[in-house]
Amino acid sequence: MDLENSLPFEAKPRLLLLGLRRSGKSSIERVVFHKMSPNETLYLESTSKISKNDVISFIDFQIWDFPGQIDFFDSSFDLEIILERCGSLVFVIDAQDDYLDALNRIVDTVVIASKFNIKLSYEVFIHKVDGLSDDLKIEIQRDIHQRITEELMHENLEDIHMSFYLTSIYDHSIYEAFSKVIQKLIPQLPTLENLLNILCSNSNIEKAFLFDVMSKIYIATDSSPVDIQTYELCSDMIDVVIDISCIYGPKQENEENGSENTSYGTDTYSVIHLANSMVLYLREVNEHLALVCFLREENFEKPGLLDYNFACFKKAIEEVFEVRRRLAQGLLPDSDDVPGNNKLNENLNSNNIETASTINNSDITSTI
Amino acid sequence: MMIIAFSNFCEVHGPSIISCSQGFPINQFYKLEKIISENSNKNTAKSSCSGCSLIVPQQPLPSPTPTEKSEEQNQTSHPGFQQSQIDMNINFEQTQLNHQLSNPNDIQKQLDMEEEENQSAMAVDEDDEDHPLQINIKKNMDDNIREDQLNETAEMQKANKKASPNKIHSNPTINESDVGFKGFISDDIENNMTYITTRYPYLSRLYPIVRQACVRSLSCEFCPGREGAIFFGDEQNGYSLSYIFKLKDIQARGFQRWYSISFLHSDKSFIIASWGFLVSKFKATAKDLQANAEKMFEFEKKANQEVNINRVKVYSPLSPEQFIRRRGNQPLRSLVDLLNNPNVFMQLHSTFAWILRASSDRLYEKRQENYDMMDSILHMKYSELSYSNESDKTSNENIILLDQEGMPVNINGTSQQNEVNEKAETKAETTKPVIIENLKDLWRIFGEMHFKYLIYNTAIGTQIIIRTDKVEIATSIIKVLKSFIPESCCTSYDYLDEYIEPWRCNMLGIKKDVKIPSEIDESNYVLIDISTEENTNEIINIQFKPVIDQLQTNYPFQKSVLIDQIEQIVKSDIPSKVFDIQMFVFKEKWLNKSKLFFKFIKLGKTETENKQDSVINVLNVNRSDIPIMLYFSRGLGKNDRQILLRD
Repeated sequence: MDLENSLPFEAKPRLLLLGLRRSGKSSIERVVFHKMSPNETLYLESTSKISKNDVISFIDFQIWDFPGQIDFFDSSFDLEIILERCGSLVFVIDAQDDYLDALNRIVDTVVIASKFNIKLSYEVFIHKVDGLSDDLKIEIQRDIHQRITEELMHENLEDIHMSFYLTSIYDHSIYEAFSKVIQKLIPQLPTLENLLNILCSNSNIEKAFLFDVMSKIYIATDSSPVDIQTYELCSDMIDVVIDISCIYGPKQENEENGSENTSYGTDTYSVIHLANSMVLYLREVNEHLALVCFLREENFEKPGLLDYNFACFKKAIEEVFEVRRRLAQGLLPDSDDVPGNNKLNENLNSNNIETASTINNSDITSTI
Repeated sequence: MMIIAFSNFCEVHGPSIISCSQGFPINQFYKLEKIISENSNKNTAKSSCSGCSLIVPQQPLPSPTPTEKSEEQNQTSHPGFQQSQIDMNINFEQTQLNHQLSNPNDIQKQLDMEEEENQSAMAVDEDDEDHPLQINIKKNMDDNIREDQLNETAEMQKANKKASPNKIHSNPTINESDVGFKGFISDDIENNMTYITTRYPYLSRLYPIVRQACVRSLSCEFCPGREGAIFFGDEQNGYSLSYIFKLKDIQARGFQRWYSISFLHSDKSFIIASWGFLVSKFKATAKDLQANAEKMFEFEKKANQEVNINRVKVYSPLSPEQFIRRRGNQPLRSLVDLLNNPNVFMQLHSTFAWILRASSDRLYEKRQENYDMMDSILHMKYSELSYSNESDKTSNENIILLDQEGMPVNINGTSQQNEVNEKAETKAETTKPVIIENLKDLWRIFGEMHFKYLIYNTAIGTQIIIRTDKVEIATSIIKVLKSFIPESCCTSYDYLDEYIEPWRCNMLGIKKDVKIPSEIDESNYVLIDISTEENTNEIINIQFKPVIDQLQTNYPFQKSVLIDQIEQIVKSDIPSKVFDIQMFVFKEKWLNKSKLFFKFIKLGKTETENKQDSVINVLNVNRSDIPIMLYFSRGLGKNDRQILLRD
């Protein structure tokens, strides 16, 4: 079960939070990964040192929060050390401020960083958009996008792709943006998405998310478009489940083990019926991950079927991470990584889900 | 170069230097000042930011004669200072409190006597605040240093207010204020030092170093517990001891701001040795500032709440929105406003000047006891080698009874030495006069056995007599022989027409017809008869007396380590410049050995043979070298001996 704890020396991907001072880097980091209330971030002191935070979850990664006052990309800092093993650069722009300086800084940074590490992914958070009207948001995003693209063209870096997100810590947009950033760091993402697709189609699920419980970031979803409201509902459901199980859940005996999410047990399972004849369905996958599904009430007549399909899904996910774990332990040669992984999953999936779908069909026929 | 830098993490600029305090010798400083005032225009283009700038009170304080008069002047002619004086009083209490609080801890931590002295000086000084009358009495009791420290600490806290017969005058100068070059200057007349505090280091080449220390202390290094002292640095940029602390500020994000005091020095061990002292002083300073800031913070918070009730927003931003929108490059308050103390920088300056001063007192130079013993000819030669090819007139002066005629040819300095090797080869063919310039030539002329014999006897102090017709030969041989023994232990006469007894001189050049008196024992001298051709200086025949048997192998010199080493040097085929340096080093090495041996003999009170053997082992010498070391140690001056035995 402990898929991730057994990855001792695997390089942790690194995520750098950059941006001018007061743009909200530390606030984002605190809100997303430390569950700080957005209002409290007002009282954060300005960051004077690079603060490095290890996020221990289904994949471990590090978030480096840079002080905005210092340009760490000038020559006096060792860029190789900073950019080594770095997965993505996240630029935070204060949308309520004059952002021209920030854009210059971003372009300068990209120019330098692209020389050191070509695999970097660049993300731009147009932050603090909560106070802006929808038109203004779009206008700002378009403007920023255009300016940066032009500048990059100017520097002959047109093939660098940057993603833009409108974010705010006061709603779920920051989680969604972070989800997409993190997803780029997950090599198994296509497999996971594929698994979710199979699950959805076979269980008549409208939308399924695989959530990281601690940060409420979703690490994968099926290929249907993400509706922000659905996402918010699912995300809130995690809060509800955790809150309720904190109050009414069994007392945790393994306190000395120091597991943080004690209220989130191994068999956590919850169904919420919404007034608009929709059902939210939450199942624990492992200690960090939860599957949250959104489906119509009429498709939820056979919870047993859903449970069975979920069991197959869970097993498949375990297999996926098993490959990774064994790889980390050196049991599998490197070259077998992706193809082996895929093949393994394909076999398992097709078998299991086939049976699932046959049961499904037979069930349906029997009910008819 | 010692620098104390005070820096903060500015909301707008990141880590920035607020002030740098340095000490200069007074005369050097005023020379520098000229240069800098000429160049100052170009490096003053920095943007002014109240958060990270050094603020000098607009009103110049009285000139460097702060006596009782100036105090009156202060109070009468500058009414503006009365206000600040009141503020100061509050701060004094605070300072006092803190020092009293910190002192007991410090005393526990005291590592050495010096620190104790400083502490007590500081403690004494605190009393002074309450009982100004006692100053004089105490001063009289204290020695000079103490008095001065006391003055300065008094200075540091009084900041020019309470005037006493100070030797250090703090006068904040608004030097070239129109070009933005501001700072504080204190003159320490007794020690002929001046301490200046400016925004950036006085010498611009130091700027990157200070800047790096500032950035590293505030933005890179982590201190366990976040506040406290850290040490970092490297050979190239020097080392830095930084004390990091935060001050409460109601206007700052998170209600606090980070400051650091860094002590920069190029010597790692010095900083580490001064750790306890520096950290305790920095801590006291930081605590003082923190206490004041805390006071202000509480006061403003209260005021804020009251204002809040009246719904007038004056102090910190109250609504989140206002907080967020307070942007633009609006810097935070300066330390002066933060602490509501217009003299805070002056006080800091005095503190830092005092710490610099006390630190330099901690550094004491120990005179190298062997300097007198350093052979001056070689020494000069050495410096010539490194600086210029001046002819060695000066070295000629050391040779008594110098015959001027042949000298320019013989001792023609280093300029010709490059060609020595070539010369050595060509010499036999040409009819040039024989020139003996270094031990290599001696080796060539005398051959291995005689050379070693001669060298050994020279090294143990036997009288060497050179009997020849040619004055050049005598003088040059004596010069070469003298080159590897301490100058102060040998006396030489270059060319005389009478014999001089061994107890009056070690080396002697005499004319061919001079006879050695028969009462002188043969074992007391080595006589070398050198016959030359009449017209040229070519050596025809060399005779040694006493005669040595070429085949015999049990002469003491054959076991001597010194002789072996010289042999190695002489045999090695190295350029003459390198050869000279090597001989210089060689001599120093043996001087040190003999000093150690001398000390052993004197202090060991003739220990057992075993002990002596072990010392000989340690020195990596042989028993045959003992007479050499004894002879070398005769060259020690009286003072040197005392110093050696005292340590």
